[in-house]
Amino acid sequence: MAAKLNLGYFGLIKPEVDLIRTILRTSSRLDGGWNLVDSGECDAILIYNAEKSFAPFILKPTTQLIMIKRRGDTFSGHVFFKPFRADELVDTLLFIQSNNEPAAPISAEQPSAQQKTYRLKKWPPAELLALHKNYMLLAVYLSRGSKTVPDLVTLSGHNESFCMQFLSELERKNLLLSEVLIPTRQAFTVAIESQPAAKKTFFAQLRDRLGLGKT
Amino acid sequence: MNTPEHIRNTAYTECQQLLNEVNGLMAVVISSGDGFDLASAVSKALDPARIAAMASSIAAIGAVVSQEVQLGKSKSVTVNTEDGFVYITHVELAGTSYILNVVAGQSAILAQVIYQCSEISKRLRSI
Amino acid sequence: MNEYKLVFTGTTGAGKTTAINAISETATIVTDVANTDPTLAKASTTVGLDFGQINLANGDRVRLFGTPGQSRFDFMWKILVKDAFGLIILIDNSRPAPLEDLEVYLNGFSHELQTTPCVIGVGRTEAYPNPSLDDFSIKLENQNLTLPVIPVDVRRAEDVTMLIDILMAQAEADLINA
Repeated sequence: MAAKLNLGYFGLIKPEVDLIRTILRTSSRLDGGWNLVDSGECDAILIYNAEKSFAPFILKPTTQLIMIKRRGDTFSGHVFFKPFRADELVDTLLFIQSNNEPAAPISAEQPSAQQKTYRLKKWPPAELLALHKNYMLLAVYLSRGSKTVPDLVTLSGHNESFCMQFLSELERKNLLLSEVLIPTRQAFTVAIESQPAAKKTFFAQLRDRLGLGKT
Repeated sequence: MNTPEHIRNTAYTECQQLLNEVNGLMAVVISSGDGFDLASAVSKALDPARIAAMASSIAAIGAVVSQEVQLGKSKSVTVNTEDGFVYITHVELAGTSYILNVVAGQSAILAQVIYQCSEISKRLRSI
Repeated sequence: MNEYKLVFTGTTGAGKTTAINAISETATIVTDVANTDPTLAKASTTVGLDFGQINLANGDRVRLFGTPGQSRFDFMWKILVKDAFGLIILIDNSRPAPLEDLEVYLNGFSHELQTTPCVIGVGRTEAYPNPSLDDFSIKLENQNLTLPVIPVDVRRAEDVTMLIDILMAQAEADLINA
């Protein structure tokens, strides 16, 4: 079994810390794969009200930041919304965990889903989109140029398996163009950070005003 | 648009006359409020259908502007340009409101066009 | 404070004015005049522009513009769509040739469609199921475009907000390509 991963926390109050500890202990999906640690190195850290230093935690270059936001706020990276829902934290941790595992040897003929980009050939028929209420937005993302699975996860906030499931539905209907990711393409997290701040604020404000919670 | 032939003819005569009488005019178009040309006379390669559509947009925007600032009903809109002007005003023809649109070059005089248009308006109203 | 512009276009009678009315906070400015075109079954039609506004909590403003529908007003299309953050094309499926209608706007806005987020809202699909939504998608595919085609009733504010949500999702997806 793979080594356990460490989750840190910053800016949380004690009852919240206790709740998260309980989630990690009791989630059958996590299967005890994560420890909540009070200091030291961590693989991911929950952050409420970020500051420059996260002492006593030590952040590695690979440490994933999970921002705590209010439900209804929009954020493009890993996020855990208040009021907390256990399944959402578990989804995020499983996603981080899957990216943390050593990559399997890759044959040139069969690149993994992570290394491929996908693009819609044609807008999917209504019957396909009706299969799940969140399929439509995934289709929207795939209609704007090529996207990787991590791109879709970042944009939609859904986990990888949900996105993959939609991709396979599209593939079955021959609606998808896929190609191997060009290595020079920047990591999606970098691209996201460069989003113009004004536009991000605008989307958040307009969604709020129109009563659209980002799913 | 079902405008009786004699009204259409009268409108056409007025357009032609104005174009001939006033120096420097390039186009005279009478159009419906929703931008269809009823009658026109042009001395330059201008498309009366396009002028008609633009005139209706400008007249309609003029109308909402005057309403917004509470200055009464909009009577005309003038677009002054480097090389001439465009004058857009309302006329009534057989009880229906139309737009009279004049495109003029540098040698035309705005006051003269305004005067002639009001004369046309009077004549058309009396049909 | 930032200003953003959203443009509604599409066939006459598809409900551009209605859509803006459904979500605008301010009284909609309307430049409707009496319709004299016997092929259109409506009393009045937009010749200039419709204008509404949404004010956001941080002081940002969204200006909502509706264009005239008929292609003889395409000069207004160019004026209104400049710097728009998104374009909503509304199609009335009860008209004789909705697919040809769509083509008029795809051509009229072809330049903007290269970059500006755009969604197609099709109205009256329940009473007039043909052409199907998929027929619209095929039409778009033939023009090398992949745009969302969504059935809408623009009298319902939630249908209009859904279209706007899709535009925002497109813009977010575009940022990731950058």
